[in-house]
Amino acid sequence: MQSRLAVAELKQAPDPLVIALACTGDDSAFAEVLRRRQGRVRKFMYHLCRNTAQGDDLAQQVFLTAWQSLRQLRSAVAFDGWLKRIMVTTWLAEVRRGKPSTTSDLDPADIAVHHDATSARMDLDAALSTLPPDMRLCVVLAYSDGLSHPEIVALTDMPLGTVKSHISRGAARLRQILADYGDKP
Amino acid sequence: MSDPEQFDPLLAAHFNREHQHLAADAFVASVMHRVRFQRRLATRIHTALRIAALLAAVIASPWLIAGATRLNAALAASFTWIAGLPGAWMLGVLAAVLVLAARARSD
Repeated sequence: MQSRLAVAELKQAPDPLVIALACTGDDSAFAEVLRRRQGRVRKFMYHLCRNTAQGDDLAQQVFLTAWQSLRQLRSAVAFDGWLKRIMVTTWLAEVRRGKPSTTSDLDPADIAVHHDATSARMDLDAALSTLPPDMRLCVVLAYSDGLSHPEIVALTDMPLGTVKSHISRGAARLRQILADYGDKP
Repeated sequence: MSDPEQFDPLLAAHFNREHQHLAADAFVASVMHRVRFQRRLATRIHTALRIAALLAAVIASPWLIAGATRLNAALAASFTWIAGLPGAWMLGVLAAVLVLAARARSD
């Protein structure tokens, strides 16, 4: 579908307008939404599966699902929550299929060479990969996305007690592993 | 976080660190390529289904015409019967039963 706005105008346009245009089937607007949200979705998926290629593949699935269901979105303001639900559903489906990767594609030799922000990030990714998938999801939603416990319950359909326990035990385990690495945030 | 007592700001600082740079253009191009592929596929499936429906209608047309002729004859016979005395009596009885049933339900 031909875009109603030029690409330069789309880049300047506010989020609700771009999302509303994407909902009408405007491919250029959808590409702009994709450009604005891709970093967040890919980072989320990368934290969960610890593999850039698989994380990107899952992020692509998220955006394809979003594109296929865009007409069901009632309000442009609700887009981020709606997208977050697709992200969580995509990850949980991947876990159910038993396919989540725990193998990093980063070079572990980097850690030995220097202990800067990159290696600290790898420490965190390595520590996250030791958590069970459900616990990892709760910890990432709480600490990376800053969601509250009720918001996590609403997204994951897990009981509140389970979510609290996952976050508490997951955070304790991460703290312990990161302390073992001798890493200070 | 809704529970500040459980929240660990030092751990949050780990998550807030700069993540590796993720090049946007290649990713956006790749997703849009898949979107266009999905759209082409959906269009082709839609066209194929329309052609299949048209072919089915053409192939089944002799039976459809015969069926329509039979239906027409059956309807003509039933209207003739209703227009006669037995049909009128039957309609009257049916209407009375319906009125009584509606009254019984409203009571």
